Order: sequence, then structure tokens, then C-alpha cells
Amino acid sequence: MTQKGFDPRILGFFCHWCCYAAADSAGVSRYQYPPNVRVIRVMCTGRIDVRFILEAFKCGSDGVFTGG
Amino acid sequence: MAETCRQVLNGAGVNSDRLALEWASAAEGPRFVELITGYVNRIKALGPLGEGPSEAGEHLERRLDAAVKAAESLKVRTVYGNLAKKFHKAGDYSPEAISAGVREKIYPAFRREMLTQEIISCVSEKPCTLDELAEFAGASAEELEKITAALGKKGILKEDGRGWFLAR
Repeated sequence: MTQKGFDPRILGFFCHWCCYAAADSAGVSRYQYPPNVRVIRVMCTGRIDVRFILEAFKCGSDGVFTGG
Repeated sequence: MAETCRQVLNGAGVNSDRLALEWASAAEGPRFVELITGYVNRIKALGPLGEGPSEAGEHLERRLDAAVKAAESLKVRTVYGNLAKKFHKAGDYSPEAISAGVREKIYPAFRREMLTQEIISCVSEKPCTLDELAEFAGASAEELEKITAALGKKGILKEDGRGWFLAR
């Protein structure tokens, strides 16, 4: 059911040492990837709590991507 | 944590496929690009929040609000901590054990807290009968009866001929 013009708002929780650095290196090497993810950097994926994710959905994000 | 989130999201009427937990090391730029692209396409296929099949639609914000409040509650936190201790003791961290533990321990506590929040938000507007509450919270009257009785005992709610209302 792909909707035309639907631009999902996705919240990303990225670990500072892993996924955030991977995103950075992907950017430096000029890989193309969709710009829908809004990133929140955390110092470790273990910092993320059930509440953060529920709150993200409550605030209307269409998806939450947790990257460790 | 992820399993708790999935079960709670399903219970609140959100497709749990909307939550992704993936790993990419600092050296894996290309893998990260693959993961993100795949994930964004998956969300595009699901459509906006609340509009996918089996999603709660108009009630969603209220349900999620109740879920956030339940996640803060001391009761749920205690159950969560106790379960973590139990896993540590048994040394069994297999996905099946975690899924079963969450289903049996955390989810019921979470659901109870969520329904409590929904009942309080419903009766704070006007007195409600048990059937009205059941329709509002999307649960059975029997399930709610126990919770309203417990709230009545604590002196938070009162009951009269018109139904339950907030005690002040």
C-alpha cells in the first residue's frame, strides 16, 4: 500500500560509537540513503528505554529505528 | 527491552514492525545504508502511523499516552527489574525465554497500568458506567471491574447510581 507522496518521519536512536559513526562514514564516502531519519545520538544503545520509544510514537513518528 | 516495546505497541494498536533494532559497526557504512534504505521502504509500505491494518487509528494517541504513563509507573518498573534479575539468575537469555517472560510478567502489569490511566482520563470528564469505560478503553467489562474496584478501595474513584467518578 505505498502511498504517493508519503514521506515517513522516522526517529533514529543511534549509538555514538557504532551506528552514528557508520552513518558518518557512509556520508563521508558519499553513499546515498533516504533523508527520512531524524537522528538522536545516545552514548550507548543501552541508554534507550521503553518510554523513549513509546513517546516517539506518541509524538507521531511513523517509525523508530534503533541502531547499535 | 525491544520485546517489551513490541508487545506493548501491539497492545496499544501499533504495528510492531515499525520498530527496528539493528546493528552496524563504525566501519560498516555500506551496511548501514542498506539497513536504512530497507527500513524506510518498509515504513513507506506500511503507510502513516495508525493507518495500517490492525492499527488503532483515532484512539492511537490516547492509547500511547496511557502507555507512556504506564512505562513511568513504579509497578511496571519493579516488574521489569525483577524479571531482569530472574534472567540473570537463570542465565537464559534466549529469545523464547525473554518473549515468554515479557508475555507473562511485564505485559499484564503494563496493560493494567494502561487501563488504569485510561479509566482515570475517562472519568475525569464525566461519571462513566462500566460499559462506557469498556468501550472507551477497548477492553472487557470484567477486566475493568477489578481495576475500578481496586481504585475504589484506594479512594481514587467512587461509585454511585450513575457510575464511577473521580473522588476529590
